Amino acid sequence: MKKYFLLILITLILFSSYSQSDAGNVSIGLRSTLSLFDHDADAKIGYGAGGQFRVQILDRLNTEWFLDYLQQDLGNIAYRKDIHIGWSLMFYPWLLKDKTKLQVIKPYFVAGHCFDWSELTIKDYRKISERKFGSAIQFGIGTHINISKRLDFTVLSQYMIHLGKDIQLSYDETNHTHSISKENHTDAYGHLLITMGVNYRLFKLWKPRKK
Amino acid sequence: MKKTIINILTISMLLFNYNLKAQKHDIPRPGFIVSTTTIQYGIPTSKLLSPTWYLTLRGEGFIEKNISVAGGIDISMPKKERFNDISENYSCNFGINYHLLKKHFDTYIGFQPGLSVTRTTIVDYNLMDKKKYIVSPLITSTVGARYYLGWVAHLFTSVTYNYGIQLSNQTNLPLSEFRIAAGVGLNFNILKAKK
Repeated sequence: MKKYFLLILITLILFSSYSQSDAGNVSIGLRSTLSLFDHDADAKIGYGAGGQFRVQILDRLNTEWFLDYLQQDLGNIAYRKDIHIGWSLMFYPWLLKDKTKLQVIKPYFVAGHCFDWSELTIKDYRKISERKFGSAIQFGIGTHINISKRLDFTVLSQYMIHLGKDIQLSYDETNHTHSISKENHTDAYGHLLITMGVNYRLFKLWKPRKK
Repeated sequence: MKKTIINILTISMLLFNYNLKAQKHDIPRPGFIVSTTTIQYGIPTSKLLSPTWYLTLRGEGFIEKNISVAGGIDISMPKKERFNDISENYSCNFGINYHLLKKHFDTYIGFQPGLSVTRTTIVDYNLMDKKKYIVSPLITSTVGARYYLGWVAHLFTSVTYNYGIQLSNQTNLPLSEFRIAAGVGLNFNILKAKK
């Protein structure tokens, strides 16, 4: 999995090595996220709030640094709360040649890594909860909808794969009760994240090189 | 008594004069700050919960002619305790508003993610500690309209929709509600107009 991830990163960097006009842009924004298709059987749609800032490296390559606080209901049995803190590389395959015009739709591919903190709590009088700290990778597609030269509304769909330890609900058939088990293995389980956010360009960190 | 009336009239005249001067300039513009302290009425989307009044503090700064950074704090006011209801609700949100301006009339739409800190009335003593506050994320959007009375004040009305769920050991409670506000706010200008 790591090999594929590195391959994607190298491809993105190679493809983005021309034109630097947007390089150096620093922007900041806020976002809301929906979490779908979780591996827990009774999981409902999770949601959360967060923020991000972006530092654009090249005309076609941007970086995003984010923090999200999410929560998800697992039916009548349990609920979980997650904090994702991480970064992503964004590659723009399609750019307008005329830089003076506003590119309203600006699609991109995204790939990145994050650290995640999770807490799973069982909903009953026992107040049982477990926490774990782990890591994840994410990849997907998104688009900026540019409202002005500085402001954009972004819609992003990405799949997040968790690596390392996991905490899961388990059912004891003898006592007919639920408990939480800690799994210590890497598995390609994950969930789909749909993110909507607004972002505002603050300043230019460096002047782009002239061609 | 006479002195007070004279003072009020003098201040009003000064403000009116100040506003006449201000109307020659564009309102709003970058550096224009809008603030308000008001009462909001929260109507829950779930019939399980009762409506709530909120004390609201809001601030908004224009970074472009049509774009502003907005944030606020809502504090729920005490209400009659009901079985399985939200007894306390404190929320904050922060985001961006996009404005459509026509002279001094301003309509806007905003996207402001936030967090709420809530406490629930007791359902079952075995399940939950009454003192426990629960933090939940909120997805918030707002629409509103304003009329700027020069640089000093504005009239406003707004409707905010919050989406959220309070997850806890007891029954989940929906935090989703429409919050309606109207009133008068104050404006400040912190940047000089570009000549």
